Formats: sequence, C-alpha cells, structure tokens
Amino acid sequence: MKHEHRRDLFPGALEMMILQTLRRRPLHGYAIVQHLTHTSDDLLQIEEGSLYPALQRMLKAGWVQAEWSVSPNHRRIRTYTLMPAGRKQLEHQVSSFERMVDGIMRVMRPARS
Amino acid sequence: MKWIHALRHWRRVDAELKEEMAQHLEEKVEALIEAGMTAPEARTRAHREFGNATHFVEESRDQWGFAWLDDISQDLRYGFRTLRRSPVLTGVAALSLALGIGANTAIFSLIDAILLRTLPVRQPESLVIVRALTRQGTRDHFAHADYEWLRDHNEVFSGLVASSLWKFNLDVGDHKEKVTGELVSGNYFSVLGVQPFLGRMIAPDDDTAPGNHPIAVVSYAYWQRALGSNPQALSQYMRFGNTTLEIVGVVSREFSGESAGELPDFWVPLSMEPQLSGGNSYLHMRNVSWLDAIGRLKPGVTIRQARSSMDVLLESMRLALHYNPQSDYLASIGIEPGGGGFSSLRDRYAQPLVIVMAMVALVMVIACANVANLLLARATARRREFAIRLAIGASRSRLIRQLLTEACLLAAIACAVGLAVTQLMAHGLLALSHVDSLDVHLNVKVLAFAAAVSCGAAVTFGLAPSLQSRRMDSWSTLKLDVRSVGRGTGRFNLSRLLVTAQTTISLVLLIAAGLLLRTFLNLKELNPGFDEQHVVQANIDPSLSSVSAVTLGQQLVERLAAIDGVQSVSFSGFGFGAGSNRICCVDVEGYTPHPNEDKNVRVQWVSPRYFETLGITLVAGRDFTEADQRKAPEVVIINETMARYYFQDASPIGKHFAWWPTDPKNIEIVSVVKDAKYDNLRQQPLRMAYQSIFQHGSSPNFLQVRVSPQARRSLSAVMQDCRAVIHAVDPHVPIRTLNPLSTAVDRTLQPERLVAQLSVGFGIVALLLTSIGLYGILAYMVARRTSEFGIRMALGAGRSTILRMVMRDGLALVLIGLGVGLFAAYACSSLMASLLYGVQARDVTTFSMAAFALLAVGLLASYGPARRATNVEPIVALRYE
Repeated sequence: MKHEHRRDLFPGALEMMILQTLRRRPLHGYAIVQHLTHTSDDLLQIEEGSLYPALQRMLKAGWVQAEWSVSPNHRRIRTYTLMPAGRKQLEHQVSSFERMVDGIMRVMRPARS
Repeated sequence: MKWIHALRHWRRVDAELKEEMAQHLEEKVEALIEAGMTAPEARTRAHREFGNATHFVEESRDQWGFAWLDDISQDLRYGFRTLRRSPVLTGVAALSLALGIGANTAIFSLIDAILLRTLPVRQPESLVIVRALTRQGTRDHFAHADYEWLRDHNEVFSGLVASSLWKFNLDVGDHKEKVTGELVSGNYFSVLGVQPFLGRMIAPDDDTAPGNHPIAVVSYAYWQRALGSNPQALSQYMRFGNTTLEIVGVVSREFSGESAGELPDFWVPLSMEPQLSGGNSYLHMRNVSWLDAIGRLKPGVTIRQARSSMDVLLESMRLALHYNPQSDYLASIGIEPGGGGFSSLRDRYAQPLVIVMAMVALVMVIACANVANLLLARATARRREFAIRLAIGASRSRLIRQLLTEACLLAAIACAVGLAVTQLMAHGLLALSHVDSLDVHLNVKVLAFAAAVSCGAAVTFGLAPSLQSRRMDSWSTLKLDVRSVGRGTGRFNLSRLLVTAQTTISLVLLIAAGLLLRTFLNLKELNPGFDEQHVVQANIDPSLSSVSAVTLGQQLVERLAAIDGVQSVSFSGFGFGAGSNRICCVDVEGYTPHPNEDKNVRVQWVSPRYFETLGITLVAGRDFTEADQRKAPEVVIINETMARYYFQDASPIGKHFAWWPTDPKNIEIVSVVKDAKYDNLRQQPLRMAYQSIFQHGSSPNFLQVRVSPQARRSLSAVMQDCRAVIHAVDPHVPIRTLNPLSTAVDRTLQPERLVAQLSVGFGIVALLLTSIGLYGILAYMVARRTSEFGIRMALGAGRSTILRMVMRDGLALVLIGLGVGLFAAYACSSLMASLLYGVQARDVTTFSMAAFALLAVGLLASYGPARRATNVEPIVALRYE
C-alpha cells in the first residue's frame, strides 16, 4: 500500500522534479506538491511526505536554501530557493535523464513497430 | 564540542520538520474543505495522501547522519527508565560510587593544592631548588658569599636567585606594624620571569653596592590593602626606623613569592640588608648561612646533570673560598624540582597524601567491584530481555552499548553527587589537619580528575556485564529460561573473582591502616621529656614592645606569676615544634673530635625556672639565676645526651668549652638536665645546650606558664587571664599563639594523625563494602539454588549440611582473598617502612589481626544467606519450579 505510488518513480526523479519546479521561483513544500500534481495532470501521484526527506537531502547538499516567512494567508511557511549548485545539478540530472529516456525509447520502439 | 553543535542542529532540524509538515497538512485540509469536503473527511484524506509522517521525519533526520545521536538518546532514555525501575539498586550503587568519587576528588584536590600547583612564573618546570646540605643531609641555607660564587661560576643555570623572608616593623604614623618582606637578589624577578603590574621590578643594577638602592617593590595584595589600590603609590615611601625605601613597582597580581603559604608584602634588594638588619648584618659574614636559592636550568640541562655538576663545582668553591673540606657546613649541594617553590606543607604532607591517595583509590576499586557485581546480578536477571532483543534483531554491539550507557549514566549521577560532597570533604580534611590558607576550590584539573575517575569507573563496572552478554546465545537462553540450575555460569566466575579481589584489597588496606594507627599511637605515647599537660605556652612578638626585651620578659613573668593557680612562669627564645632553632658548633675541653664528626649542638635560650616550669628534671647542678647576665661569666646547662657524648660517665659540671675552635674555652657547664624533645616526638634525643636568656640578650618569644595541678583551674581559664595580662603589660605586643603545650605537641603529630584517621576510616569502608559484596553474591547464589537445596533436603540432607555448604562457599572466597592479600601486603611492606614508628612493616600481630577481622566479617556476611538456605521448605522449593 505504502509503496504503491512510488512504483512509477526511479531514484532521483523526485529530486529532479523538485529542482525543476524551483527553477521558476522559490516555493514552500505544499506549493511544490501542488505544482507537481497540477503540471503532471495528476498522472504522477507521489506520497506528499516523501518530499521532505528529499528536501533535507538537497539542503544538506547545498542545492537549495530554506527560509522561514509568513505567507499572504498568515501561515508560517518555509520557502526553498534554488542555489547555483542546484541549478548545475539539475542540468546534469536532466541530461542523464534524457540519455536514459533515449535509451529506453530505443529499446521499446522496435517492439511496438 | 562538535557533538554539542550536532545535538543542537539535530533538535532544530527536528522541530522545523515537524512544524513544516504540520503546516503542510493544515494547508491541505483547508484547501480540501474549500473544495467542499467536511472537516473529518478532509483530514483523513490529507493524512492518507501525505503518508506516514513519523517515518518521513526519521528519514529526513537520517539525511543529516544523526542516526547515532538518535540511538544515544534512545539508549539514555531507556537507561533512565531501567535505573528508575530499581531505585534501591540504583541508589546503593550511585551512593557508594559517589562516596568513592567524592573521597578521591577531595584527596586529589589537596594533592593538587599542595603538590601539583606551580608558581605563576615563566616556565616553572625548569626551576630547581638549590640547597646547601650538611653531612647528615639536613637542609641548610647559603651564606651570601657562597651564593655569589655559585651564581657566577656554575654552567648549568641560566640564572640563580637568592632570597630570604624576614619580618619587619614598619612605621605607620606613630605606631609600628608587622609586615613580611623578602630580601632578594637583583636577578630575582628577571630570572623567575615575573612582570610588574605597575612601575618596575628590582633589577640586577639595584643589587650592587650595599645600601645604594633603597627601593622596594610591593605585592598586589599589599598595594590593595595598605595603599588603597592607588596608582600614585609609586614613589611613596616605606619607613623602617632609620631606613626609608621608595616604592618603585607593584608585582603582577598572581605572584606571591616563591614560598607556599608565605605572602610577602614587599621585596627589597639584598644589598639593603645592612640597613634593614639594624647593625647586625649578615651580608658579609662568611659563617652565617641565611639565603634560599632557586635556579633556572639552562635549556637541555637535566636535573641529573645539574646534580653531578654540583659536586665538581663545590670542590672548586672550597678551594676558591678557602673552606675546610671537613667542615659540616655545605658538605654537598642538593638539587630538587622547584616549579612549586618552597613549601613546608609539601615537605610535611607529600608522603602522607600519596599514601592516602593510594588508599582511597583502592577503596574506589572495591566500590567499583561492588557496583559491577550489582549490575552483573541485574544483567543476569535481564537475560530474557536481552535474549528477546537479540532475537528480534538488535545487534550485540547495540546491547553492549546499552549496558555501557547505563553504567555511564550511573557514573554521571555519582560524579555529580560526588563533586557536591568533595568540597565538604576537602574542607573537613583541612580542618582535621589544621592547615589553613590553602586554596582547595574546584578547578579544571580537579574537575577533569573527577570526570576521569567516573569514566574509568563506568567502563570498569559497565564492561563486566557486557563481557558476560557476549556469551549470550538468544536461543538457549529463551529455551532454558531462568530456571536453569547450575553453578559454573560466567556471571559466577566473574563475581567470585570480584569478591576475592575485594577481600585482597581490603586486607591490604586493613593492614596498612593497622600499621599506621599503631605508629600514631606509639608516637602519642612517647614522652616529650616535659610535662605538656599542665603548661600553657604563648608565642608573642616582643619586637613591637616599647621596652627592652629583657625588661618585658621580667615584667611579664612577674605579672603572670600572680595569676591565680599559676605555679611558675618562664620564657625562652624558642618553643617546642615552632620550627625555629639555633645550631652551634662546639669545641669541648678534653675531647678530640673525629675528622668527620658533626660538632653541632642545638642551642636554646631560657630564663630562670624554665626547667621547673616545663617539668624537666635538673639532674645535677644549679638553675640559671637573674645574675647570669651579660657581664657575668658565661655559663650553660647541657642535657644528658650532650653530657654522655662528651664526658661519658664523668661529671661535666665545671667543665668548659668554646663556641668556636679558635675561641678560648671559657664557657662553663653549670648543670645537667634530662633530655627533652625539641622539634617533634619522633626525633632522637639531640645534644642540647641551654644559655641564659639574660646573658644572651635574646627576645622572650615564648612564655611558659605552669598551672598547679591542685589549683582546680582549667587551662582555658588561665589562658584567658594570660591573654589579659600580656595585653595589660604592653598592648603593642601581639600574641601569635596561646595554647596548652599539649596542643603544640599534638600539632607536630598532625600528619601522622591525619593519615591514621583516614586510613582507619578507609579500612572500615573497605571492610563494609567487601562484606556487602560477599553477602550479595551469596544471597544471589542461594536464591538461584533454591530448588537444588530443596531437592537435597528432600533427599535427606540436614539443615546443618546446607548451612555448611553455603558457609564453605563464602569462606572459600574469603580465604583465597586473604591468602593473596597477605602475600600482597608482605610484598608491599617495604613501601610503608619509612612511615612507621615503633612497629615493623611486617608486624605479625597487625597482619593476623587484620586477617582475623576480615575473616570475622566474612563469616558474618555469609551467615545470613546460609541461614536463608536452610529455611528452604523442600516442597515449596520444588513447587517453585
């Protein structure tokens, strides 16, 4: 039950998507999840809590920075900002992801045709 | 400190994560409600989509590598719970440890204050005390000429300083005040490396021609006290009669001279000695030794090298200064480590303190063994718990860590309690030893020591159950349950070993305590040679009196003798155990000394009736009279030891001698008195010569008042009267001490008394702890073998058989311990020999009494559990299964 949603994600995918999301503008946890679900048209259903270990990992690696502030609707939120190191990491991950997808596609195409 | 940072960070990460996630959920719930859900529905859905929050918090924390911190906090919490679950065991263990840690730390803080503290100077470790030694190895001082020669001709010191502590009468307005000053060589401050707080220090240039540099440097304390911390104090003057010194500097706050317990108010160049000594200058006297010396070793020179170079140096000095190589003065030069400066406390208490420290450390070992046994017993009781934990996947190292954590917790509690009692103990010890002016406040060194002892203890007793848990096999433990019958399990061997070791150590401690106690009792029984019970002694300072010393003495005798109940009064230059003495070299009529002979005798100046007052019997001849004064022919009274030494069986009365080989032998011996002790009770009888204090003109520093035993007046009542009388005769004369003479005698036994009291105390504690240990292990064994005893009794074994079985078990442990202990004590006995008096280090009586005491306690401790074993009802024991 618990791992049902994760089935579709490969290691590092969540991090890559978070980085991509943060590239547009700094966001807090809930907003990141909202963005991920909306842009994926609810195709990707991630367990929302799993966002936080990933964010901690990225904080420690220095890819993102966190800052507490108060949101327009008076909620204490922690906003994450993409750091240069994170931007570099994103480029790296995207390119390796593209290579991987490319590889998978090459394998899959002949079977369909 | 990295882990403290990590701990803080860990806490913050934890709190932030929890808040962040809570906010996330709330925001989601609100959004869902807005979308039309009911609140409970929204909450359920939000939680489902969020997932297991606790899991995510843990996972997030793990990202930072806090797993170990998490484990430790878990271990600590669990440890606390375990300790709280058995409060009695925890209490007993923590308390015995606390006492051990407290006692160890208290003794250590004394050792730190007396033995380890170094002078607040530059590189104290390279300082050495340089001493003139007599042929017998007793300590002497240097004459000024010797010091100068040594300073200029040695090759091992980068600097050699000389000093001498004096008391001065400072003119303050119209009266005089006692101040302590130190005459120092010009290089004193530069060699020691002491910086000025204000102004400048004394420099080598200030110590050249005599009387040329009337300057002084004052101590920080004196500057605060007497000069009101006035920065303008420089260029003020200090006046001593005809001599005036200009204050040129204040020394740094930390420095208070090189002698522990002495706090000089000021320092003055040696070259000012003729002006300050009032005409009787030592500076150019070759035969008066009065200077202490401290040297700073050149880099790379060891104490050993310095020592060997002194022998050669002394040879050339004798040649250069034309010394008679046979003379007793300066037979050799001694070099000792000098980083701590001079300290009479260190000289007196170094050995006792080291002995006591060793004892208290042994007591600590015994206490640790007890706690180890307690924890072992509990670990055995927790076998099931550990087996289950192992079975469900805990690693063995994790279990051992759990046990160690509990041990550390226990030690930490004990350490906190121990430190709290340390201060009390240390001050109690100071009170016991009549030592004041000693700083025993907790400092980093003492705290570090306490922490080290606690950690050491925790590892020692915490490891014992861990060792056993290594042998644990979860499956067999679960299968066998606690009912297993058997004696040869690991816990038993280890516990037995611990109890045997305790017995061994206790015996060694008891024997040492017995020997030290007998030493003290022997010393106490010694006859000082005078009647200390009925005499009151006052130590006064006559130099502040307005009348002459002799007049003051006579007035005091007259007035004191009139006090109700007083039988006789006298005065003298020195007092028993006061540390001051005068040694003279004599040349006796009709006696030819050997080439290497010690020609010295002790000299004491006394008034008429001194011997009567102190109860020293006049064997032959007459007492001094007031007619024995300056102009009369010089007469002396000698003691029996001196009479026997020079005249064997012939009568010495009417014989003559001289104080110096070249003088005419015209001093007449007029009588002989019985021997009396002089410095302490231990001392062998010395050759002594008494001079009339009127003839010599010395100050009446000590007054003796004999109270008639028939007078029915207490000594304290007489003492009060004495105080009043002395004050009435001259209010300017300060009374330094006023005590029954027995107090002065007792005081010289203080180190021995302290060691005897402490060692007996520690011996008893050791005995107690050992009996608790023995009782504990036997009681535990009996509980475990209940069913075995039941079966035996069902098969016909009598109660006495069971009793014997258990007692035999206990006695076996004690006897093995005794055997090893006797052997150990015998082997170590030479360490004690120098401390003992009137008892052999291998004294059979003491050895057997200690062994007997331990055996008796062992029997007593075994009897309880043995009785319990005999009370086992066979049927109950079997049903218990």
